[in-house]
Amino acid sequence: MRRVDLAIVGAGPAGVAAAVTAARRGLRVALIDEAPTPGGQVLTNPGTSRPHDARGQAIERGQTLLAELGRLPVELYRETIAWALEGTCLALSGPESPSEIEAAALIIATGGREYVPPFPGWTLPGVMTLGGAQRLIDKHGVLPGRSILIAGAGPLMWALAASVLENDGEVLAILDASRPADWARALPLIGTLQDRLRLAWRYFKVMRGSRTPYLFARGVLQARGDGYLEAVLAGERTYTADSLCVGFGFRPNIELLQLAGCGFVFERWLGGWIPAIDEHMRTDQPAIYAAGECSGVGGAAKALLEGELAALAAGTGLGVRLEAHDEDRLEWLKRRRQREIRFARVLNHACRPPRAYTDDLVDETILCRCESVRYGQVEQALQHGATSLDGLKNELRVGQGMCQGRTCGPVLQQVLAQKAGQTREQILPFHVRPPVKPVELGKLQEAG
Amino acid sequence: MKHQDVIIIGGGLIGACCADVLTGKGLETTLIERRFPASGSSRACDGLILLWDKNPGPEMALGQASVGLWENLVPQLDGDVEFRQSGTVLVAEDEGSLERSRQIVADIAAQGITATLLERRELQEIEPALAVDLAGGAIFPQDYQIDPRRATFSILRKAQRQGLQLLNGEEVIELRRHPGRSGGWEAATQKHVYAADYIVCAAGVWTTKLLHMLAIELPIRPRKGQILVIKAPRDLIRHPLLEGGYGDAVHAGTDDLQVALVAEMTPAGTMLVGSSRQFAGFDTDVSRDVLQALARRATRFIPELARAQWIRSYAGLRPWSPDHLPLIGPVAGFEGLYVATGHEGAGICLAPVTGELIGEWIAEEISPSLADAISPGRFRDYHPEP
Ligand SMILES: Cc1cc2nc3c(=O)[nH]c(=O)nc-3n(C[C@H](O)[C@H](O)[C@H](O)COP(=O)(O)OP(=O)(O)OC[C@H]3O[C@@H](n4cnc5c(N)ncnc54)[C@H](O)[C@@H]3O)c2cc1C
Ligand SMILES: Cc1cc2nc3c(=O)[nH]c(=O)nc-3n(C[C@H](O)[C@H](O)[C@H](O)COP(=O)(O)OP(=O)(O)OC[C@H]3O[C@@H](n4cnc5c(N)ncnc54)[C@H](O)[C@@H]3O)c2cc1C
Repeated sequence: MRRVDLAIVGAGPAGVAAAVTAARRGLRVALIDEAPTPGGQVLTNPGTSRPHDARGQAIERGQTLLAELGRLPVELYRETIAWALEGTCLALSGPESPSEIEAAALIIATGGREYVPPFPGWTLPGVMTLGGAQRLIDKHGVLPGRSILIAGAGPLMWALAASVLENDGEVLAILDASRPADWARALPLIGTLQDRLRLAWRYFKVMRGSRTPYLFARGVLQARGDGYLEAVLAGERTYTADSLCVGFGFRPNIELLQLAGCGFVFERWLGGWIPAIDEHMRTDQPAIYAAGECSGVGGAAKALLEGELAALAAGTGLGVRLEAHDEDRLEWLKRRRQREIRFARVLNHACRPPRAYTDDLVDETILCRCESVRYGQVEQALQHGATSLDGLKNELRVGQGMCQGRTCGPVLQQVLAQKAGQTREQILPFHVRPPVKPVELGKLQEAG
Repeated sequence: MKHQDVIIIGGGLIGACCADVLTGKGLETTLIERRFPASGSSRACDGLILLWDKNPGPEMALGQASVGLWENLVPQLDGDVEFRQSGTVLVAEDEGSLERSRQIVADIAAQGITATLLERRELQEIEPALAVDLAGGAIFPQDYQIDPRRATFSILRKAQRQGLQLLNGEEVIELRRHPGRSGGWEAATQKHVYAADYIVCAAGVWTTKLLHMLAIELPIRPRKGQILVIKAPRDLIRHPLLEGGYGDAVHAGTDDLQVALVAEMTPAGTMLVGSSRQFAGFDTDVSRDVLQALARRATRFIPELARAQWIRSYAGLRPWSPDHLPLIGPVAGFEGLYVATGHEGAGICLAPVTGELIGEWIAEEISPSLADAISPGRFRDYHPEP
């Protein structure tokens, strides 16, 4: 079996920062990601697509680390899924990976996934997430449609609008479901948000320059079309659109941490259920750390700080002696992280979907895409007394398809909370068993 | 709540079938389930309704009666429970195993059940995805498949329409004789105390824990089975497949892990691959070594599966009984107390007949002809292992 000092799952900003930090200090590091190239959701490989300096300091710093990663002796396993773990031993499936890696310490940096609350027509082709649309443009140089409507909440909308416009695309309108007052909560943090303000300002200049309508709108969307998106109803208005890009922030990918047996806490404004961790990113399981979005949704800057922090803490645990400047750095990282977390709470609060999305659900709306389960069925199950995600799964098969509840889990959690008269804290995520992501059966056979 | 005729403990398929029969006979019945319907073994299993694996005698009699009851029951249910007569195919890996299949076919045909031996070529025609080096097999066209969870829910709905009180999310934590009435019982949950003339313990593998409270020891042990869920082309296999050694694994006299291929397709387009049998307490975690053993068996018989996507896994507990017959009936010395469990890997098949038997005892006060063979009292001298 392959042995390393530190194994890291996820090569986004958190995983890359962790790998570079640990490798610089001489640790033997394995970095695992299911994507063909490292970088996670925002970092791009050098040489591809757009200049990344346009994305702010955090992403710029991430790019620098990604470049350094290539020069360090880190074992990088591409297109490799970490599908299970026992203690700090990972089960892997990838073209060049061993089937198992035994690590002295483990950092889980599996990131987050975008959240879209269900609305009528949301499964029509032509409706996609903000991040999905952004990736189309960044990685493939393709616009998501000819007439694009952007809806949801948060900075991803602005970045996407700017990208579409800069690539000579048409944005029909931006429908912002946040309230201006939500953002006022960020005022006390303004001192540390200079670069992000500059970035937002840049996006807004692009939007204003094109005279794209920017509307604050908290109503539920309705997508219509015969086999493909043709129109979007938003309040009184109807837009003839062939692309609806929508997103309401992120939810953490906690499945591996669940398998690890970690304790969780409910933090609504950090994405819901997140692992209980200490200030050094340590979970309650020996030698297992969590960093980045999977430990609480908060953006790339937070992910970078946490990756570094986790690697320094894991290194110390493995006997790496910290220099004086490392000690200072550790303290600085911890302080900065607290500020990022404060900002994250503001951001996630602003990105919450309006209540109407769950209050006004209609029977036909699909909630679980894999198993085509509609709201009407869920409501019936609730009337029959279902009170938990696992109860719903039992009755309706929700969460049993290819995505394993990644998409419908957060959706159903919200529906249960609002309709079954429970608090969000009472609703536990789906129970998780291996594999956390689909794996070729042949790979299971080889393992061990 | 007012004094009931019957309290059933456990909302698995067995409890559901008991509830259906008892309410159908007009008894005031309450079913208490600690979580939600089919939250125990009846969701963590396969859905095969087999006859060829039943031993001649009481087991076969129960099986045949139950299949008949299933055929009657399903048309009365709301919702599609995916009941279908898909038949099953027994697959023989080598000549020895084919010889065993020949024996099974002969035995089964003697019971009046259709069974046909398959030569190597015939097997290939019926199931083209099977490995080419298999020796042959047998087909049993009368066997059924069902979705046990949906069945549990639908049967409970039917029982509710007949007046069943269904209580989810309440765990029976104490069973005691009714202080006032002679012969009556009380079942206490965290929330309430319920009273009835009869108690039916249909709590699957957990029945032992319930009865332990009354110092009644039953020899039921949880025999764990793990399952792989695989995304497979819908017609990859056309019948549920079981390997020739399946019967031996079921009846193995040792506590060691037993693995024998069982593969069935669900209408949702997933293939369920089992089977494993092990005694590992009440825990329902999956373990890598067992999942791997299942994967090896699966690709040995269906090579194409090596490239299919494995999407989930789960584990359930079979209520094992020492003589491979269930424990259904009254508990001697405890008037009004009934047990309905111990079906091992056949509780889905045998659920309707179990409900019927309980109904005969409680509602009609007659002792069914099979009473002795399945009496819980037949293990009177049983002592639990330390
Ligand atoms: C389009 C887009 C634009 C964004 N722009 C900005 C921005 O301008 N500024 C900002 O601060 N934030 C931005 N964000 C948010 C930012 O992407 C995240 O905050 C950041 O990527 C989080 O980093 P991370 O390392 O935690 O996770 P991620 O970047 O999500 O990386 C997680 C990685 O883990 C891998 N992974 C997960 N599970 C497994 C597994 N089981 N096996 C193997 N690999 C696995 C994934 O493939 C992924 O590469 C943007 C997000 C998107 C989608
Ligand atoms: C892997 C596997 C595959 C199988 N395949 C097949 C097959 O193909 N065909 C077949 O016929 N059989 C099969 N079986 C067997 C079948 O699943 C069981 O025999 C059957 O489900 C048992 O049903 P039950 O109602 O007795 O138990 P359960 O379904 O376990 O129901 C018992 C219920 O009692 C509840 N309970 C327990 N204690 C209490 C309490 N104190 N208070 C209130 N409620 C309580 C539990 O929550 C549970 O819901 C399989 C089993 C396994 C594990």
